[in-house]
Amino acid sequence: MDTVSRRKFLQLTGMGAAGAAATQLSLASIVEAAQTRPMPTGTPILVIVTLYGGNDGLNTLVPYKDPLYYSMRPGISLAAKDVIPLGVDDLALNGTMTGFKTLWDRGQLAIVRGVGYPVPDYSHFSSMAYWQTASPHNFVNSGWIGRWLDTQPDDPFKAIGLGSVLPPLLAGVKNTGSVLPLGGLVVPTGTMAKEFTALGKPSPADSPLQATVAASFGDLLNLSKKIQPVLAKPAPVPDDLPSAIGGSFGADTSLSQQLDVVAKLVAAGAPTKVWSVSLGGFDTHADEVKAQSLLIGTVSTAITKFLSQIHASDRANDVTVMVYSEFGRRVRANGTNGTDHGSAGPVFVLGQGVNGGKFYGDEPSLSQLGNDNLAITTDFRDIYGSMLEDVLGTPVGKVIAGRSTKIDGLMLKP
Amino acid sequence: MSTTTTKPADIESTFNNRQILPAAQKIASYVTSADPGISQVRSPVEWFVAVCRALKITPSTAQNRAQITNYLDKLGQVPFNPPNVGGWPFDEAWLNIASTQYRIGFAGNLIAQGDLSPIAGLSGLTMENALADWLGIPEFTLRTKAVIRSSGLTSAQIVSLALCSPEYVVNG
Repeated sequence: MDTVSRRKFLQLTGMGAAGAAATQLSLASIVEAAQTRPMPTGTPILVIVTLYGGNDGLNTLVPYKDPLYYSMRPGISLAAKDVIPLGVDDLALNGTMTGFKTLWDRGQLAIVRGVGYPVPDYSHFSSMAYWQTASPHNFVNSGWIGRWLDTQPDDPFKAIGLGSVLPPLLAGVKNTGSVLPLGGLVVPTGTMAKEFTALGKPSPADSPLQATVAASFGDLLNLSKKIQPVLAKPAPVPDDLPSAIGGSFGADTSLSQQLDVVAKLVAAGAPTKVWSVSLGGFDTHADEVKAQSLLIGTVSTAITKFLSQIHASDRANDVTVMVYSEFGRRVRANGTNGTDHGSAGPVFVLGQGVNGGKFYGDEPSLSQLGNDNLAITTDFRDIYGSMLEDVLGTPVGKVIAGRSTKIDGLMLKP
Repeated sequence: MSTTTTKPADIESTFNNRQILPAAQKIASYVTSADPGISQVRSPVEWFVAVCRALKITPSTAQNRAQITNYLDKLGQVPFNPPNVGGWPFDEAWLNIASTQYRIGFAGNLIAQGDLSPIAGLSGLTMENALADWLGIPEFTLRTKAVIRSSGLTSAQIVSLALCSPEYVVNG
């Protein structure tokens, strides 16, 4: 593959991480940064949770009193006894989402309904690219948080994704986010530590990619010394777990592991304003009810635990969590007790700064489908508008060209 | 063999006529295919397969197959399980601190069950040349040569350093 066609492929896959080569350099002092220049408490922090695969909105926020819900979804609808009514608009949460119900009652959970981008595409790949670039049907090779990073002084700790691969949303045009692996770092010791350090010296014969590999050795060995002590510390002790949901907190999912690391680093004062975590598996084409309930329950439990941990630190007022998926699913079941790719779905926004316990955006009506799909009543970029302007303090138009709107009142202190 | 920087016009027609030997000669004579400025990172699966070939490991009969899958998962590439229908990312996406640490661990795991005989009993320049031939590296950099010729290293340590070296992880 020559350079030109590689670049084309990069564009096609939406992985055009303009500054991605810088990623591995940026982590070398994340914890040192937390120790030497901790972020002042009161600085807003945004945690973005991406649900890969297309979460079924109708079995997440359930219109459990609508006869159409049951008549259109035989075999995959949730009975009234299996949902948790929210007490407003005859809507209920999936019965596994007890944690979110608690947060709703405390006014710390807002639900934006009918969220999507104009003209559904149905492709995971295109839809996720639209969400992560904030540019539906019009390809750009930078992510929305990446472009927000472009408006900030260059600081590689400012946005961090958990995992081994940079999510496209963190790739900007000039600046880029960093990645942090899960489970701490295991590094060579003794002789091999010395040899790998020597292998990390730059060589004039290295190609740019080879130089990147070489640099990663030094960064790895440096970082491990600094980051291990912080990751080894216990997470802040949650002091406000309701007993009703305390029992399920043992569930050790990848999402809760990621959020555990984020909680520790936020509490340690990491100078990071945006964190990106994710959970996959929402592409429920078959036998949906059990799988989707389990997954969305995991999301609810992991985020509730995370917010409790944050609550126990001194940054309880600083953290806002946003949860989205690339699309909702079809209203009607397919032939295998699942659902196919659809359009709108709910987006969750959580935290003490959220004007919660209420809905934003209209619930798409089951009697007025367009092309058998739920209507999109809220453009996802309006939520980004609120996150950018009311959490991160940056005008939305600087990040998403031509946009000026947000969801009014979603955050308590705009 | 003479080389050229312009693509031989008849590469495609030669290949299309299934004249494999002439086609291979034409490709080899086209210096762009050996341009060090054009390089590609071995994806985790490509790196794993290359290491298995070198160490004479058959993945289906390898020891610790769950660990192998786990390493590929940590490195971000489990066969038939791409992150989305767009497939896997490439190049820089595989190069970061996380992938470096897992690549080192993975190499150790495979070396423990692999065949290191191509450099057994060799040392100095002879070992260095045998290692480069064995792993298909045109030439190690001076930096890497110095590292692999450090005194007191075992064959397993030498191979581990070579398999994680920039020259091996990135195809020139």
